[in-house]
Amino acid sequence: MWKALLAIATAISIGATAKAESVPRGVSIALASQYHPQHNGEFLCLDGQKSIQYSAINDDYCDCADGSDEPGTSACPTAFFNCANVGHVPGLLAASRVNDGVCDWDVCCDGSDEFDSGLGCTNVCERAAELAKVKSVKSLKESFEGALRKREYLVRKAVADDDRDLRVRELEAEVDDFNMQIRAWNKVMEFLNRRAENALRRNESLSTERDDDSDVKRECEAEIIAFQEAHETAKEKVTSLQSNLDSNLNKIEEYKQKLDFGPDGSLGVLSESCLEYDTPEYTYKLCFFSEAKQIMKSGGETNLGSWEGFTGPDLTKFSGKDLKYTEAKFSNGVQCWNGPARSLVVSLECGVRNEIVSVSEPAKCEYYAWVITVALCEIEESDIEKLDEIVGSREETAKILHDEL
Amino acid sequence: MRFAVLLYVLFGGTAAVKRSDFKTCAQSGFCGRQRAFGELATLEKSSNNESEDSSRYLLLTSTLKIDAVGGTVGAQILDSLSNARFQLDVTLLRSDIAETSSDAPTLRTRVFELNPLHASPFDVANADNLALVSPLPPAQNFSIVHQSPSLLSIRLANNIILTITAKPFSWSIARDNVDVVSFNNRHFFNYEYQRAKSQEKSDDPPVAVKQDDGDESGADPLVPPSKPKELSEREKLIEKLKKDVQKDMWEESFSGKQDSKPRGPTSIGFDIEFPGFSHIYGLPQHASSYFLKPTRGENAPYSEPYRLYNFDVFEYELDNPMALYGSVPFLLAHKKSNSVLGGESVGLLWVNAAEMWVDVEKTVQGTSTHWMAEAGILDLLIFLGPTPKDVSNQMTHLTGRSALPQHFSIGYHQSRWNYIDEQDVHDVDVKFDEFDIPYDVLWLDIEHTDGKRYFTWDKVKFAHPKVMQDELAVKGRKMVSIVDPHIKSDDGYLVSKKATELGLWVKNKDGNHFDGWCWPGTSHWIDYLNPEGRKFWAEQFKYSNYEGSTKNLYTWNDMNEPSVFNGPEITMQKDNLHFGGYEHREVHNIYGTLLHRSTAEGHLLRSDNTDRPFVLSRAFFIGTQRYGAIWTGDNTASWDHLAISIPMLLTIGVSGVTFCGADVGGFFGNPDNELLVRWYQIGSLQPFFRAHAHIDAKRREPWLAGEPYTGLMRESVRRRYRIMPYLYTLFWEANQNGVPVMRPLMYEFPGDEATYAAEDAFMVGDTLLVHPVVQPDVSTVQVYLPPSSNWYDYDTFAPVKSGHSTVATPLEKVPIFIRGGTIIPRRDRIRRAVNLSLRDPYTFIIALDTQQKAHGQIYTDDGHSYEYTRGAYIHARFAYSNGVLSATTVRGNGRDAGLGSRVERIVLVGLKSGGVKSVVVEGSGKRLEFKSEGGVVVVKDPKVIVGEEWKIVVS
Repeated sequence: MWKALLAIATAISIGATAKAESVPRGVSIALASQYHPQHNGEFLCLDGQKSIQYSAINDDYCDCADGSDEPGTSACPTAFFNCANVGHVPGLLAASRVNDGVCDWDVCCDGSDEFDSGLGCTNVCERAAELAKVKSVKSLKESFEGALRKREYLVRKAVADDDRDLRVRELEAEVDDFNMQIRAWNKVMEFLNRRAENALRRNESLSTERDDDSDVKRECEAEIIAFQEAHETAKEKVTSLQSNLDSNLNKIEEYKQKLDFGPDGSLGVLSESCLEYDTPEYTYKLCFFSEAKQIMKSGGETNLGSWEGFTGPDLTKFSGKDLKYTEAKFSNGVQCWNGPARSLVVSLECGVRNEIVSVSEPAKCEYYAWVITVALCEIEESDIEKLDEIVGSREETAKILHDEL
Repeated sequence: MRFAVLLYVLFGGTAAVKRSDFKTCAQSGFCGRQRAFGELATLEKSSNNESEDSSRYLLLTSTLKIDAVGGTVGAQILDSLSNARFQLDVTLLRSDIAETSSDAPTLRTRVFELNPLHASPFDVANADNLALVSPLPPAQNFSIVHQSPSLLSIRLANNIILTITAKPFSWSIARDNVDVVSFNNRHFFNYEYQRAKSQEKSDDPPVAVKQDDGDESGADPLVPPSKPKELSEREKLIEKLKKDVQKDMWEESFSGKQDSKPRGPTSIGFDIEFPGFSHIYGLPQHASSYFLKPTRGENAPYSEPYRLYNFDVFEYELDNPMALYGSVPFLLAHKKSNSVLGGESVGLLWVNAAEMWVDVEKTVQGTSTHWMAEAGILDLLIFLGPTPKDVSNQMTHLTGRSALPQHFSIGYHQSRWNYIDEQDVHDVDVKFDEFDIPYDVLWLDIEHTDGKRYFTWDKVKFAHPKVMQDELAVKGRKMVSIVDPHIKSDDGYLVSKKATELGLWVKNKDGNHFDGWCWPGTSHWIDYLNPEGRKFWAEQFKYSNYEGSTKNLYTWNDMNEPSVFNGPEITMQKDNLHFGGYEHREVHNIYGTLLHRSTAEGHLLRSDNTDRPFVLSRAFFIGTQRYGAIWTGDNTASWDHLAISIPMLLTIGVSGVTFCGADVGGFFGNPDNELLVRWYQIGSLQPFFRAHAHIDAKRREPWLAGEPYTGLMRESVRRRYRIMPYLYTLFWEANQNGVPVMRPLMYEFPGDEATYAAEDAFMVGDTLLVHPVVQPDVSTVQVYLPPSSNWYDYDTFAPVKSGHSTVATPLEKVPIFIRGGTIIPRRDRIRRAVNLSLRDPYTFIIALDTQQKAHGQIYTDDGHSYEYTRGAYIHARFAYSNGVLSATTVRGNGRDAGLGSRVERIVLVGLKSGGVKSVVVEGSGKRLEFKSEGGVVVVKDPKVIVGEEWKIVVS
């Protein structure tokens, strides 16, 4: 795989060399085929709006509105300069940065962007490629490790979810049982009520007639008291059952309550424990899904905000990415003197741990935290393949990733 | 920040300015006395029917010394009531400087007490080259027109005559036989001679006011009539005024703070009239109109005089004459006239650094002013114009030309209180490039220091200051760090310790080191009046002293009024003592500027005089333009603050300090996106362009607003960067002739009365008229384009009718108009910073007048060093007429220094009739490609070089 790619790359660069005479400076491989004189010796601007002398390409004067006639100079404000960066990936630099006296090595490691400024930017592509390799291996390794930890969490979570579901089912069964008992006791109470009323009526009739009924009357009154006491007991039983039932319902609701842990639930990993970050003056404590605090080392703490939710943009329509879970917000913290209520924005990205990287206060009482979490680590087959390319083979990749584990 | 918060609680809170923190005229002893004196003089004059004078000041003709060849007149002036004697020195200073429309000399009149009892007063002009340049221009001879015991008339120039009258002492200047300026015509002249406290009670009254009954028996007017009788209203008023002129002579207090005034009364008052003059301007700094509103007389909008006493004013109020951070006692008077120019000007400068108040009154005769200062001497400079530009030229000939700024410093500055650490700085820098917005300087406010100890860095947040500066410098960018004058009282702080050892601090009235509160807590202030103090300060900027500084670090001097949180009116005690034994009251207004100066000298010192300084100051005074830029201080994010930035900057500019700006976005508060965009549109066309925000304000860097706002702010910044060659040329012009970069319309159209009070529009140089939007939600603005020129829309090049018209102003529109007959050099390639663009080719916009002519010029050099003084510059003039564009009169050998870029594009605007057939470079005969569309012809890449002579023929 690696060798094949290398072969292709070589072929391309040879091709580029072969055509170097005719491909104007700053044109990318992808567009090279469009840079040749038409039959009338002219060049059609790539937007098709204008035709100019082919010789006007790269004459350091902007003729085409789309800047396509000046790929290799700074004349057109909208143009881009392609640097070949042989040995590394090609770069596209805004034309305004061509020949401006700055070696833009981050884009043009070959230094070709300053071909006319007398600056003599050296070619650093070899080192850049090396660094890029190290960096992407590191980043892929981290993603991989993070993704593994996320998987571990999801397993942990699944077990916990199962436990929870089981418990919910138990509670629900108990609720059914409680309901049944309550219904039964209600019936008993109805029965006792009726009996007590009968006894009352009888008692009343007795008292209006003869005195020698007094024994019966006493019996009757005893009966009434007995019924009433029994009813009272039944009522207590129902109250107690009802309270158990309510408690179970609450517990069920609590268990079933769905916090937004993301589409696969992985952000729940942040609910397992609060994250802390130390500065010389403060400890910042972020409890996701709850609240954020600034704890003074000298004692005392300030609420920086309560959990508002994940607030990143959904760019599905634009880039195909929903970035909602890359940002979160705590809001409505303690009011600031002469300022707003404190708030804290968290920016989240993939990392090998769940950890606060930094906390700052860019504007007064508006805090910003950079947090890495395993929850946002994804590893796709294509990533593995990319790593294969970089390190040379799947075996190497496996070795690297294995070492990491 | 906790300490700052505490200070706010103590001294400000969130409400607007606390008026009670600052004195009214009546609360400032001498102002009350001088104003009362003026009222008494007015009453007296009216009762005398002007038939006879009774002014106490007499010029002793026996002492008159006239040196017509040497250009001087000297005489003694007698205060006939106290017998105090004063010396009058009149000098004519030559102003034969290039490009003025007149050879009128500048008139200088100095009056000071002979043999003062306590001490010689501070003379800010003579002491060590402080306010005026040294040496002054040579004196100019004159001829005597008339001389008699009561009158001396001398000819200053062909059509200008100065007449000095002996009794009472007064003078006036006539141009073409019409008085244009007069002194003491209203008998307000009142020079408080130095006296002993003990004799005060038996002292003479400051003015003799005759009683209504016309009693001229010579009875002591202070002794009340022997028989008490019913006093008339007028008499009661006179009684009161007579008390007022003696008020607060030996001590006064304000807000519980005592001023011991050991030298008693020392103030000076006088009237200056401008007969026939409808408009006066100047007297910065006030949050007020460009055309000065009256403070006296019927229906006067203000009741207090304009005050000039440098202050740190928390959340200053608009539209009032309260003093602010800077002072220049300069005034420009202008009127319509029948001369060729259509209008004429005179200017006046009182070279005095003490607290000053100026009343302005519209009179039947014209405009009258009453000047009052607490100390110093009377040193007046009269500039005779006759155009406003001439006045600017004549004034800065004496107060110093605006220093040629470094190229980067006229780019866009990004500031905030505070960029919190090195990471923050890095992130902001990167964002500018990500959003492709050019900028040149990133600023660090007070929080970057180690506990507000200036010249140090916070050890945690700014642990690697050199690396940080180097990273910015890679992209041609610079950094500015704040260095304030309050030095923390701390023996562990080297600057503090050394200054104590060397005894360089300002002293209190008892001669001990003065201490007061400011950001770091208890602090001391270097005495910049002391040459050793200035030298010590300058040395602190050496790389070896200012650890962590690099050559890409420049300086911001804030709080230099000076601001003293627990002092009277938030500044220093007036009885504090300075080098030479002067009291603070005498030197106050120049204090901040001396700091500005020694910081600039520090920059020169550290670079061995090779790198032009860049220093921003908040306080300013006469001559500030020699040292760097100023800004209008702590403004607010509101539409009215945006609007007032125009008259405030116009006023400061005509007073000589052209490198000035207002914080873009407003310092206090949070601007909404519309306000922020409009502010960028305007700020990007003002001389000093810096966005800044208070620590309590939300972040507002341009990319945070989102579209369309971010794009509109980007476009505003880029618009400025495109005209950078033009702006730099304007700064050079200011350096040559003192004419401000940002100009009132009346500077360019002095004969057009419709421009005299204009402050909703301004000129950038002589070419661009800007009429910006300063209100929310408006879809149009009413624009006035002076009909003496033809005009084009800046964006479309379409001709625009002159006179009054309505212009549509959607949020993206900045109404800018190009004046016909001008040539604007631009660089249309946008780079990340100014210094990255200096090799780029030019685009010339040639806007033709109705005669199909245009002319313009360009100045360029390396933008940072003094090599231009050795000829490494290019100054070229361009003219278009009869279809030929020619580059002529090229000066300087900048071509050899690699400064000559080519012209890549010529845009001919307003070409009349008949299509263009060919465009040819003369000599080579090279035919140029061009594109013609609706009167606009764009010529492709003539490849001619700026710095060479050439001709291009359009036929």
